Amino acid sequence: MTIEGHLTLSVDWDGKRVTGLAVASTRPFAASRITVGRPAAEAPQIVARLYTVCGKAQRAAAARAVAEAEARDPADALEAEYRVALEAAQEHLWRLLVDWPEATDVTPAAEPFGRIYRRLGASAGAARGEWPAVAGELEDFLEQEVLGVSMAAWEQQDERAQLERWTAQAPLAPARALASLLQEADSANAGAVPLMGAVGASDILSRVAPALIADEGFCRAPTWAGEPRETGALARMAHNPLVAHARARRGNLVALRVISRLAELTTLPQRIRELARGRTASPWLQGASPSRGTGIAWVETARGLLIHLAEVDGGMVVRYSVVAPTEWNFHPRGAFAAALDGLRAGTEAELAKRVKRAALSLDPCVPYRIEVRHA
Amino acid sequence: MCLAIPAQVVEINGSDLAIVDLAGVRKEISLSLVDGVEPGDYVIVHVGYALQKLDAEEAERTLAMFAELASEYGAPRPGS
Repeated sequence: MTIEGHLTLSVDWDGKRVTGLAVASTRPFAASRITVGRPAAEAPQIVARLYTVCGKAQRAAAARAVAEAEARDPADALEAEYRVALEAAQEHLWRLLVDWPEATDVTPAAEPFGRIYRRLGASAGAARGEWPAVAGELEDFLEQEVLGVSMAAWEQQDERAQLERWTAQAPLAPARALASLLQEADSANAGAVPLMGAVGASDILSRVAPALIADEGFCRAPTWAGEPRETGALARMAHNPLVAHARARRGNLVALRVISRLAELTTLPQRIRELARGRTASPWLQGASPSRGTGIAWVETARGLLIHLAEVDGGMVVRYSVVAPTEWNFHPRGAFAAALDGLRAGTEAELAKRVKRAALSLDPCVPYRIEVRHA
Repeated sequence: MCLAIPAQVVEINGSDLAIVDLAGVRKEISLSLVDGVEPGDYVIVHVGYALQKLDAEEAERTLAMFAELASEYGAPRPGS
């Protein structure tokens, strides 16, 4: 067993369909054990050191949660938003250029991906005056290596039929991967879990903070008014015309989540330009204080909503909790469980393929393995 | 969430592949997502890729933090 942790997705299969599912996790819940008893000022650095995969979002959430607990104005909120947007672009690009092609037997675009990943990483510390240039560079990359058409041409595309034309014609890896995914059919209950929707301070203070403060087990199986929610690009992009059309046509959710990632990725250059002008219509990083000495921060990441709760007394952390997006999506009654519920697969190879695709569409932030149990 | 454990680069093969030492276990990883890594450097590894280069001091602090965690590991408790 490694300290990193992993998910084991155990699927019961009777030779025709999935009859049961168990999700087991060995993820150690480390942030609390490491931050409690240490100065609150060190928490953002410690958390960023623990979690590199979405380290910018983790650091931003920790800084905001501590600022709220200490009733201070958050410093560098705009810079944090910018870094969180770059990190989301890196993650979306990784899925679209490498992971999805690999999962659909398409040659991954590994070289272009490595190039843009390093470039965006190096741009994280850029001064605000340079952000429009970073946005322009990302946009050029999207046109050349992801879309294969201009952003202007892409944005006119709001019908599923047009998307299907794009997947048929564009020679690039993301289009070819999506073309393969559009062929699949969902299980009957795949769409049973509601999407998270936009999350504001009143929602967090009334629905999340009380449950999280009352029961630390909430971190492992979070719910929204008692029910699971799907978080991530699909939840954020449900009103995007391309996503809304694809959804209205009852397209399969795996493909829909990939379309949502793609749609969100194409909005990020504009988001970065807005941030350079000093504003954003929809902040991804927010915070509030449920009570004196307690701060809560929530931030949208590529994988979905990340929540940090910090309780500070005399400058020291006395309590710390993190709710990661994976916990919402891999909840026992969550979006992943719904995707597998009753899923039809005639062979074990077909089953393994479908389970892997369902997992990748929700993108757990820890390594996972799939185990088939013959029912 | 995925914990970010530093690994030390033992050798570099070609431009993109490296052997790292992760707590005594040797493993081949890709360097395609980071610039300017040399043998002896510490990197953060995730799903077979080095994601970030760390300076020696930062790596030591991080390893100390994981050692502290590992000494408690085995009795996970809820909350994070």
